[in-house]
Amino acid sequence: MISCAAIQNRLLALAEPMAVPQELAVHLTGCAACTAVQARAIKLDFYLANLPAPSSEARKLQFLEDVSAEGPVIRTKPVLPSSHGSGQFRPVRFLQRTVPPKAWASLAAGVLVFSVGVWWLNRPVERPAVPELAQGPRHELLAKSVKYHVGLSNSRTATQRFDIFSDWAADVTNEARDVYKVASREQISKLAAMYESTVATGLMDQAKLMIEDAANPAQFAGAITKLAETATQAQELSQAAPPDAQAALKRIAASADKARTALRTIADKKGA
Amino acid sequence: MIARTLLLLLAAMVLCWSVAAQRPAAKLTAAERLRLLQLNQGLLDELIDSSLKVARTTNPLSLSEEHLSVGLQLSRSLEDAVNRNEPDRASEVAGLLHDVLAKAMIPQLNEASRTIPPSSPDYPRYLTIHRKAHERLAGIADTLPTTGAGWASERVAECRTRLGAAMSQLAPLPTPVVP
Repeated sequence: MISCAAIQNRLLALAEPMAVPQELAVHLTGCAACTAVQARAIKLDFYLANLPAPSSEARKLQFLEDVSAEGPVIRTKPVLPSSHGSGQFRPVRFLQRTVPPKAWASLAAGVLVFSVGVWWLNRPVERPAVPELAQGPRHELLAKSVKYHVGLSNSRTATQRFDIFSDWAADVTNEARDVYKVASREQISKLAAMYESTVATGLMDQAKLMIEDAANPAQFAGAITKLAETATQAQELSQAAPPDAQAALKRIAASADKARTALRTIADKKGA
Repeated sequence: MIARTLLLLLAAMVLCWSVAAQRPAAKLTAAERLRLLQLNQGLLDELIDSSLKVARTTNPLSLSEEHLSVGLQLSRSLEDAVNRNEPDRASEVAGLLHDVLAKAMIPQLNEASRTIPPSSPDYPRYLTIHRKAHERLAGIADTLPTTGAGWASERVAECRTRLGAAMSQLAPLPTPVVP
C-alpha cells in the first residue's frame, strides 16, 4: 500500500502533471488530498509557462550594446524598492497618509521658532567696554576650604562645626581619589595628613564637645556612614593604586575607620 | 487649533531656552587638579591648621589672629600672582581673600576692638593684631594692577572694589594714649 506522501512526491516529479500514470490515477479517484496536490501542480505549471521572459538572445545583444556604448555604463540612480510601485519610500508615504497637512505646518513653525530661539539666546551680545577676564581652572578644594574656614568662624555650636569637618574630610578624600594615579608619594601623603587632621582632630574634638553639650549622638549617623564609605573606598583604591599612593590611601582608610569606630563607641555609650 | 499651535510654540520656546541654558561643566583632568594642588598646598596646610584652632575657640581676638594668618597667606599668593602676571589666578585668590577678610577677620577684629578695653591684659595683643592687619592688608586692593593685558577686566576691577570695600569696614586703629 503506497502512502499519500509517496503518491504526492511522484505527482510533483511528473513532467506533465496532467498526464498521470494508471496506478496513480486509481488512487486519485478516491483521495481528495492527493487530488488537491495534483490541481496545485497543474496550476503552478500554467503560471510558470505564462511568465513573461525576454528572449535570451535579444537580451544578450542589448547588454553588449549597453556595455560598449559611449558614456557611463550606469545611467540611472538606484531607488529604494517599493512593494506598491508608487516610487515613494514607504515611511514617507505612511506619514503623508496619517499626518494631516496642518500638523506638518505646525511642526515647521515649531522648528522655526526653536531655531530662532536658540539663535536669540546665544546671539553675540555687545562687547562690554572692558574685556572680561577669561576664567581659568579653579581649585575647588581651595575654595571649599576657605568656605569651611569662614564657616567655622561663624558657627555657634559644636554640631555645626562637626558637620563642617565631616564635609571637609569628604572633600579631601575626593581630591585624593581624583589625583592618586598621577600624584607623587609626597603629594598624596600630604592629602592623607590633611584627611587625618580633619577627622582625628577636627571631627573628633567636636564630637566630644557635642557629647558634653548633651547633643543627641544620633547626629553622628551621617558622619559614620561617610567615614565607613571612605574607609571602604580608600582600601579598595589602595589595592590597585600605584605603589607611591598605596600607603597614603591605606592611611586614609585607617583614619576613617578609626574615627568611625570611635564615633560608634560614643554613640553606643550614650544609647543612640 | 489656535490653542494647540500656541501650545506648540510655547513648548518650542521652553525647549530652546533649556537647550540654550545648558553649558558644559568644566571638568579638570587629574593632571590639572594635581597642578592646582601643588600650587595651593601651602594655603591648604595653613587653612587646616588655622581652622583646627578656630574650631576650639570663640574668643574674637584668637579668631581674628587665625583669620589674619590665613589672610596674610592669601595676600602673599595674590602678590605672587600679580608678580607672575596671572590676572586670572589673582582674581581667584582675591575672591577668596575677600571672603576671609569680610566674613571672618574684620567682624572678629571689630568685635575685639569693641570688647577689649585698654586696661585689659589682652589689649597689647589686640593692638598688635589690629596694627598688623592695617599695615599688611589696608592697601591690598591696590596690589591689583589697573592696566595691562587681563588686568583691565571687569572681574579684576570688581575684586579691587570688593577688597577695598571690605577693608574699609575694619575699625580704625585706636589713637595712642598719651600718659
